Amino acid sequence: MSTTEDFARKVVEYSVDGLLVINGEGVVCYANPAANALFAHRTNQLLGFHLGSPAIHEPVEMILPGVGRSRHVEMRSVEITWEGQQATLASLRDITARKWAEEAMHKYNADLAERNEALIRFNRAAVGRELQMIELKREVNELCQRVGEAQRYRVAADESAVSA
Amino acid sequence: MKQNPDETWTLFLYVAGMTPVARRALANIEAICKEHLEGQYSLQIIDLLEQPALAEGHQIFAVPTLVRQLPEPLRKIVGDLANTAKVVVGLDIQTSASAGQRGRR
Repeated sequence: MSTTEDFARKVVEYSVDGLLVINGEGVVCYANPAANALFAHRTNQLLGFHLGSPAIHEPVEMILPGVGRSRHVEMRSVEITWEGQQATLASLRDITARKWAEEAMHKYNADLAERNEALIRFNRAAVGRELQMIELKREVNELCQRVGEAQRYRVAADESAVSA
Repeated sequence: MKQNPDETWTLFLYVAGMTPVARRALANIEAICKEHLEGQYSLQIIDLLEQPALAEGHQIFAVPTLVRQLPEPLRKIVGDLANTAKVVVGLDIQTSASAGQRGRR
């Protein structure tokens, strides 16, 4: 085996991404260890399995259904020649952890927005009530003034206006 | 170009919820069927979130996957089916171009 071939073999075998060679009939002709690990919950032998021909233009997110929670996988594919025949090289990247993080972040943001909305509602209600109280105190003070009595309430807003 | 008018095409599209990719796959296959198989196909959507056991029947390992059950032989295509040329070849749909090529052989 030449140095280049040995290098290429190691790159493929030690890749963290799953690599599949799929022939024109949609049958898996080659699967690297990472690809086997991705499908391990469904089969221990990907080789010869009728997976299907990839038909995508750009990287596409796929779901690998299985027992328990599904895995999310980003797939890219390119036409190649494999043992003299036209085939497809499919690269599969497990993005499950990223999807879970995105989902958690989305949930956290939605929760935060909901709490913020509740806080705004509470603030509006509290400030509104406070403004009403100030108005009532002013009215009472005015009435007291009319009948010659001392003002009953100290209104902070008026004091600051006076001091300003 | 129309296929053999006596042939009925039975297609299944396996998805796991109507994700954006699943919606794209559905739109793509509907457009291809409308162009090439008008009036002679049935397309059934199977959501594995609702019916996970059905994945075993056609041995579905990834979604979206399109299965051509009829005419035989069974064929499978995975992905969002955006590569129309690949879908047409994968399903073995006869187009004007492929009929021309066959005629020239």
